Amino acid sequence: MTLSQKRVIQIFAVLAAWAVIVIARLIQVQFVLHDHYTNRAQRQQERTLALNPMRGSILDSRGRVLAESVAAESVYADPQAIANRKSVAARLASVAGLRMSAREVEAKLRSDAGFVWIARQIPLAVADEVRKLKISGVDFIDEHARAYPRGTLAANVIGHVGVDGEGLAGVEHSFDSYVRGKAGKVTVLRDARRGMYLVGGEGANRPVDGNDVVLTIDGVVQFIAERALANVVTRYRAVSGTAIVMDTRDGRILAMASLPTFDPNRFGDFPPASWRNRAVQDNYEPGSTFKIVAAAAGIEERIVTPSQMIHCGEGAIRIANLEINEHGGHRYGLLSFAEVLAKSSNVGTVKVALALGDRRLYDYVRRFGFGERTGIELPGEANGILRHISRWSQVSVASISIGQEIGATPLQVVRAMATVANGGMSVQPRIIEKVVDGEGRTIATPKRAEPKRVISERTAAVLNEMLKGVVEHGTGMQAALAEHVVAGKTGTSQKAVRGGYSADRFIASFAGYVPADRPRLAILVTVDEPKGEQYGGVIAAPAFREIAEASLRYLRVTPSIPQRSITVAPPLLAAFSQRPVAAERSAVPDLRGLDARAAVARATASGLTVEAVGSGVVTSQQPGAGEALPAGGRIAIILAGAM
Amino acid sequence: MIIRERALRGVDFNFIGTAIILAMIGIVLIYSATWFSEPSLATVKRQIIWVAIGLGLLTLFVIVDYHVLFDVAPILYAIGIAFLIYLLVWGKVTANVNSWIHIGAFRFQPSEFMKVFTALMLARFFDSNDHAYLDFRSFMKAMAIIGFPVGLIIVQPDFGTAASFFPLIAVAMFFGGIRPRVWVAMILIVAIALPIGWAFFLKPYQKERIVIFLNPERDPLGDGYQVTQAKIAIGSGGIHGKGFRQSTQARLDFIPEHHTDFIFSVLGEEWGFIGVVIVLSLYLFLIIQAMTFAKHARDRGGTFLVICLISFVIFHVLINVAMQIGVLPTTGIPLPLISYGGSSTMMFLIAIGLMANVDMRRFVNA
Repeated sequence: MTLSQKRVIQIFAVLAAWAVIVIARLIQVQFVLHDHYTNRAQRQQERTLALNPMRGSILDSRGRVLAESVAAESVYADPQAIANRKSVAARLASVAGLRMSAREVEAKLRSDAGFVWIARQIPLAVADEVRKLKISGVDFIDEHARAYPRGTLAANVIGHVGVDGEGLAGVEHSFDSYVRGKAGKVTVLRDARRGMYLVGGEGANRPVDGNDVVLTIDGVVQFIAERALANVVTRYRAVSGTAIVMDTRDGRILAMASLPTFDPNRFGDFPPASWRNRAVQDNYEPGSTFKIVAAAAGIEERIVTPSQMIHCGEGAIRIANLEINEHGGHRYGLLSFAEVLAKSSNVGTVKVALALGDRRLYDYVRRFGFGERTGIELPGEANGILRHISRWSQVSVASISIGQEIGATPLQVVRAMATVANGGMSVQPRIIEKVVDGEGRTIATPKRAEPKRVISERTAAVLNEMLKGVVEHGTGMQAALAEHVVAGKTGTSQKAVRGGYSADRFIASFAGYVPADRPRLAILVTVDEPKGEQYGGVIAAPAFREIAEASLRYLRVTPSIPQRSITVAPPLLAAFSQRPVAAERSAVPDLRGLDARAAVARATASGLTVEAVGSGVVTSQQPGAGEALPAGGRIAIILAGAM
Repeated sequence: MIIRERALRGVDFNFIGTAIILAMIGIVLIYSATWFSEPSLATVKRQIIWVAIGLGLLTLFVIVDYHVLFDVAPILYAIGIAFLIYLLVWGKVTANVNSWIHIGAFRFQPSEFMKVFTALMLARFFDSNDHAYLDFRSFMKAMAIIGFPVGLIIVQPDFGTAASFFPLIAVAMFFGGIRPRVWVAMILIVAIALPIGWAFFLKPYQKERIVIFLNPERDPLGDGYQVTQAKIAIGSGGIHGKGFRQSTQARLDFIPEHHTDFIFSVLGEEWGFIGVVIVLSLYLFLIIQAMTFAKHARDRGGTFLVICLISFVIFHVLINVAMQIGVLPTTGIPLPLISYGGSSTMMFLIAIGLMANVDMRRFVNA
């Protein structure tokens, strides 16, 4: 017998040993490590894809779109699924809209990864062209692209977003959490060959679109301010400049211009310095505009009255080892305090400051809000530089009274000016009107501080008269308007350089408000390093006048000076706001020299709309002729002359 | 006459029925593994055809008395050898291995059928050799019967299939009867041959498999990938599995060879520990039955034939299951009756038929 009991038992012993091992192993794998393997299966089979929400728009106070998101597509490739990379690269490069060379594309395709971006957020039409090539291994993802239909308008306030939709500067950054929205997600099953199969669906995890942010900025006032600033900066070949228009009554910023600027649609083409919002991020020595603080303090503390005579001597005053001279080497002799301000006498102001003393001057500087952020809803706001009184030198009180030894942001200066305009009440500057959801319901209104009394109404009224004098017969005469009384103060500060002050580099500025007796707008213009001229009254005051005049007309502020003939036509607001059908771009026609009716007709023919200020013929337009605008985009025009 | 009415009544339908159930389970699992990636279901349909043809062959190999088959065994063996030689000379390269014969649209692996023919040859040899112990000459003869086809298959090269002839050697030594000193000699030869074989005969990919077996997670996307993925499938199946058609590992193509060598992991994922235990129990039932057949066989040839054939089944199940859960290295060894594959399915159905054949004719006067 070949099959003995013994051998059968031996065979089953081997089988049993095997079975024990296998069953033990199965129990380990299927019971003990079940969760571990379930987890691993899920990890390798499932992919959670983020669904990008639509970023909210940024609107001006009148609902004009300053930033919006438009549908776009991104093209990606799986280089491992592409056999002939050279020919695929050549075919992709043949799509002109991608603006890529065959070599660039090929370099991307040479990656070892299973995923490379070919182009992000390209217009749908370009993506369709790529789609028509039917290249396997090349696929598309729906995305959104950020578009700034008005180009550079308010760019330094709005900021820009990165390619992944994150706000990088300006309101895009500071209100990112509101406009960003909430990403949704979807789970897809992924097979081992990396193909994707959608399952589940969007369901509960649909993305939530971002909310819209409404600014206090008025696009037209912004345009006016930018244009005036650009003119003055160009004419005097200045390095940079800022202009701010603020509603004195509630602190709403109607315009905030900063040069150099950039086009947020293609911010990468501009140097990062042009992205700065100099009106809030940069400190400068405010110079003579700062004299309003010492003047206010002197009057409030009853140290001086406007009519009080001050001996301004031989054009210089010495404190310790510092000699302070008058601008332009003037020797004013005896001046009333009103004249001191009107002529911007350094010696006269310093004498008042010396009478005030360190403590009181310091207190007023602080009360006017210098040395601390205004709290405006913009990123990167500077504090200003105000040394604590304990660290003042013997000469600090003198230097600071004339706006040296102190750093301020343009916004702080305009706020101080508005405080005087407001009868002594300081208002908090603000640039965000509200945040609204898709249906227009307000979902957030930024909180702000209550107005705060800085000086008495009486002091403010006295100062108001003095500031009117500056424009009537003092250094600020070029800021005067035909229709309104202007109050303001010029500033010409030497730029601080190492070890002292530069002899040939200045910041010319003018800060003021109009109409002086029923103030609406506080306006500041600063021009950094103008060439040829240096005085704020010569350089900045005319720009102030330009901004004030156009803005008041646009805002339909009734002229406070009776006019012999009415030259103000009601502002023409042509709101031809057909929404763009596709993100096509039209060339901007030249509208200069046309009257309003003809300009509107010409713009409409190009698929564009017009926003007009003033009356007469078109004297300037933004953007300029030949530039590209998305269909339905608006051209801002200023009409003047001819009646 | 080859068959008698009374003999037919002696057919063990439980045994054959179990084999058919396993083949049906195979078809269901192959469907689960392929329905998603292959909506035409061509693979499943082909397997159904193989099973149908295999059942025809099974019937044939039940009906024809195995003694007649012993008579024609040398011819079958010679035909098989001829095919293997043909493959070496003219064979087409398929998946890096020269193991397929193409006849029109069909192709088959002669090496699978060679298993049955070699078993027949070996059983025939033992039928006429009834000493308690094999003398050296007889032992070498038995080894030659096995070694000839194995050598031809190794040079194809198909390491896995060649290794699956190993149970025949074990049977020859274990049941043929070998004196203790021959055992010692054999062990010495193996001990010397192993390092030499490692150094000179194993291909790099074979060495790699063994290294990977020792540490499969070392390279989860390389060759250890298969075992890792199989373990993920079986492990995520848990106790009761994910259910019919729910094998995500197979559907999403994470398990390579999911309908052939790695079908067990689909079983583990869809039917869990319970399903695995049921299938293993069915195999155990086949093995116990076969051992009974061997014990009660009419003659030494019948006993050996059954032992040789069931040793194939045992070997395939042991190795295949063990490799899926990382107990043994990966080899191309299918799960009997369940894995997709015409040649292998038909070979095992023939083997089942032959075992039933021996059992049916266990009575001397039948």
